Amino acid sequence: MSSPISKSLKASQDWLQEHVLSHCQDVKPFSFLLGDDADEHFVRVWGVYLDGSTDVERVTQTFMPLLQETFRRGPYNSLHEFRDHLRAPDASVATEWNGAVEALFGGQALLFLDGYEGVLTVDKTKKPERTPEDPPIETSIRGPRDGLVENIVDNVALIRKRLPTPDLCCEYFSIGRRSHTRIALLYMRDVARPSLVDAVRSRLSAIADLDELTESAHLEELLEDRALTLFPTFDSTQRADKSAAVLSEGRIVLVTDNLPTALIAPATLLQLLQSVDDYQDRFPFATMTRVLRWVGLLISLILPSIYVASTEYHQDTLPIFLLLSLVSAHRGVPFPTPIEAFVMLIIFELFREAGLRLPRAAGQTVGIIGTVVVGDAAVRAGLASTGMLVVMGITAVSTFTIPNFTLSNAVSILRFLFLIMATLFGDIGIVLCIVLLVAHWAGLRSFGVSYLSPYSPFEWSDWKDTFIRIKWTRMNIRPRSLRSADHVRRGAPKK
Amino acid sequence: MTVSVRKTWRWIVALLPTLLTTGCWDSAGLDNIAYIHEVAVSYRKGVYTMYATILNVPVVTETSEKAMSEKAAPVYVVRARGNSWIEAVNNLFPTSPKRLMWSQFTTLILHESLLKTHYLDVVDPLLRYREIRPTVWVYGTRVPLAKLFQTKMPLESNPLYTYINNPNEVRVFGRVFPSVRIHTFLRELNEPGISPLLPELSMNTPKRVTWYKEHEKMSFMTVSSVGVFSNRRFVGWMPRNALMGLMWARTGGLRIPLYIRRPLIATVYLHYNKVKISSVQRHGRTFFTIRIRGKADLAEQSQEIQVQQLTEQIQTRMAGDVMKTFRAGVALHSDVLGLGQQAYRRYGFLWPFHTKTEALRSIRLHPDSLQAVSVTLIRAHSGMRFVMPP
Repeated sequence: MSSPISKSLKASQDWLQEHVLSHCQDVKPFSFLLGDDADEHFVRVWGVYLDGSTDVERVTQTFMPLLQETFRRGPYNSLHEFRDHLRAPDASVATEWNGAVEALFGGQALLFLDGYEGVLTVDKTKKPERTPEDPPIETSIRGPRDGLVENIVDNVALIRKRLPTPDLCCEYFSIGRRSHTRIALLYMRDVARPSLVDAVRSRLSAIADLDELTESAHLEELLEDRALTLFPTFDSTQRADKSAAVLSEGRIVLVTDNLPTALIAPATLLQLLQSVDDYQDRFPFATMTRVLRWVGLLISLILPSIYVASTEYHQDTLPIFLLLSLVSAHRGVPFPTPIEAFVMLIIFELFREAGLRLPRAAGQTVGIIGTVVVGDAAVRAGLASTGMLVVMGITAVSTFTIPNFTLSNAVSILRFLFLIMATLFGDIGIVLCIVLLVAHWAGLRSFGVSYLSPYSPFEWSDWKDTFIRIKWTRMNIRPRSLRSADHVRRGAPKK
Repeated sequence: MTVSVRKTWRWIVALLPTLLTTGCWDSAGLDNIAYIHEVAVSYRKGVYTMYATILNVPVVTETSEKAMSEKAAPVYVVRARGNSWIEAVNNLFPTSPKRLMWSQFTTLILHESLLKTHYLDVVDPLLRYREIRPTVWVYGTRVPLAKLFQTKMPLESNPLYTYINNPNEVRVFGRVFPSVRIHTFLRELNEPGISPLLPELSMNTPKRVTWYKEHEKMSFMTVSSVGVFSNRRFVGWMPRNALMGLMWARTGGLRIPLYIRRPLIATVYLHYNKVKISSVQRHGRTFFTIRIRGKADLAEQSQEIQVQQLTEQIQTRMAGDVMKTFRAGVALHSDVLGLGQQAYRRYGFLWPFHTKTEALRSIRLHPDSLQAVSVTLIRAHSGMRFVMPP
């Protein structure tokens, strides 16, 4: 496909007819004459554009008159010279078919001038897209409402709007033989650790022989340190303000074209449990919600297994009145507690999945039917005990406090593992699971940063933005665990 | 098969039996268990008799799905006998339609007949069994066990709410001897120079109090005295008139009333005192002095009297109480105030290891071992002064 574009308009038409026009009917050809018929100084122009992606109106109304006027000032020896006299920054010249076709399917208009080698490409794209709006999964009460959209240029611009400085670097990569997905690597030149940027850059460049890249999850898998883990080693966001905030912290952001989700690296477990609102409220409240989220994580992970272990093996861990209530609630339930717990957990996951798959309005109905009607009916029918229902309800609610979706999915899977171990070994099984889980976390790295930092390795100065969040005015240095090039966030640099 | 597949299979084969055949066999279905809650043991002519209360969970009907913690939880009382306590327990097990568990066992009552003979034979297996925690409350009693277990308590819709089952939660004010857990009891039993005190459960002791329920007199349980041990042997109950010294100098208590009637009339409340024991060794014997410091709240005062005068009177009274308790303890050959322990720890270095008996002999108490008791009280709270019009 990579051959030079010839001088002859006919040859170009034939080539395009054979390679593109015959089977892509959304590519529209057009032709007109440039110059004046009267003085016979004219040239035949033939062009193509991608219907729906090229803004024809702007091409004809703003670019054509410019073209006409430039042509009158001619003559020119080559298309490049023509281009140099054209007062349009979005026009360029392609000499190879390869680049020309890529530009065409990128939404640019191609103009073939008879007698000139090469083709004039005009970037007047107008692809179908939506305007920035509040991202539905990362809502914020006080924060801005312009979330990322499906256009990489807009997304970079949204982030750039918040960091209008040359230190915010933006490097484009193109990945995928067919999809030509553009990926923007954003980082703060004087803040981000150089080795981190180098690592991301080299991993991005190393992605070869890939057909297409359409999902950010695929990119995550291509770039992550460890292949086999349930836990996300990238944070993801749909918010421009969060992207800007993590950039100034010393992290990198990867924006993928056609996706409203940006990837953030390095990510730590504690970071995944933070939300945007933490930074938009008074610090004691932010601290409280963070602690609550940890409690939520812990409850959603181990509450069903603790319930099973306590009722099956360790009745002495329950106060006598609680035990008697649980026993009387369980009376008449035909299944042993572990089986009951499994069934209820599976039902809970079913309802969750059903609620996600259905349209939003119907999903809510399913949620209500699932929790209220079926739960109550199950208790009345003697299929489940009230105690189990309470445990499952608390577990379900706690699961939703985890801000990161991937993390909460990982917790859902682990919950079953915990339950199996609690059924088999009681509290010892739970403790064993926790030990293995913490060991796994401790072994995870996200671009060289430990998943459990700043707890392991221990970094006292980073604690001010982990479980707790101290006053913003006291957070004078950036997280040390990121080993940023510039630690000082506020005040004079300390030597 | 490739190496990795074979390895995976090996793991599965190794893990499956380990996971499926271990652990879970002793899991118990929630409603197939009955819980032993209280146990009382007595002994007579080689036969151990055990009374046990077993918790039964009331049926919660569909209409009242509310948790039942406040409602009555009926208990069953079981009597079992055997040639040892363990035998009695094992005689009980086959008769129960549900599996009996000890994980909610909270109270152990030892009858005087057992205390005087083989009470350690009951305590020992109790602590060997893994389901039982050493946090069991332990009491002694002189009341026949059958009578003790037929009593219906006043105010208790739920027999689990009795004072003896949760002495910490049912806050008792006044002259009530604090309950002990079995780990404290055993620790003091093995300690030289101190006599463990076992609270005595008795029925209807205070003569001036009567509980009525629909014009019927009710019986009630109180902790009326303490059992005294010496060298692991039960030596008897403390006389009731010698108990106050224990509260002043050993256990303390919450709002212990002290009534002064002659020559002044007043009532004060005393709380936990600070007790300092000091000792000197002379001619192979040890002599002790006790210094008590504490705070007193004035509860009642009938005439305008000098505070100084009142305080002195209370202090004298308390010192007298402590001395009386000490003498009662010496009469039982025991160290109820724990004086010897202080000396044993303090002078331990004076005695080489092999002369432990010598050391113990030196701290043995005689009627004159306690040389002085001094009490210093501060008036912490005298209430609002209210002057009656003439």
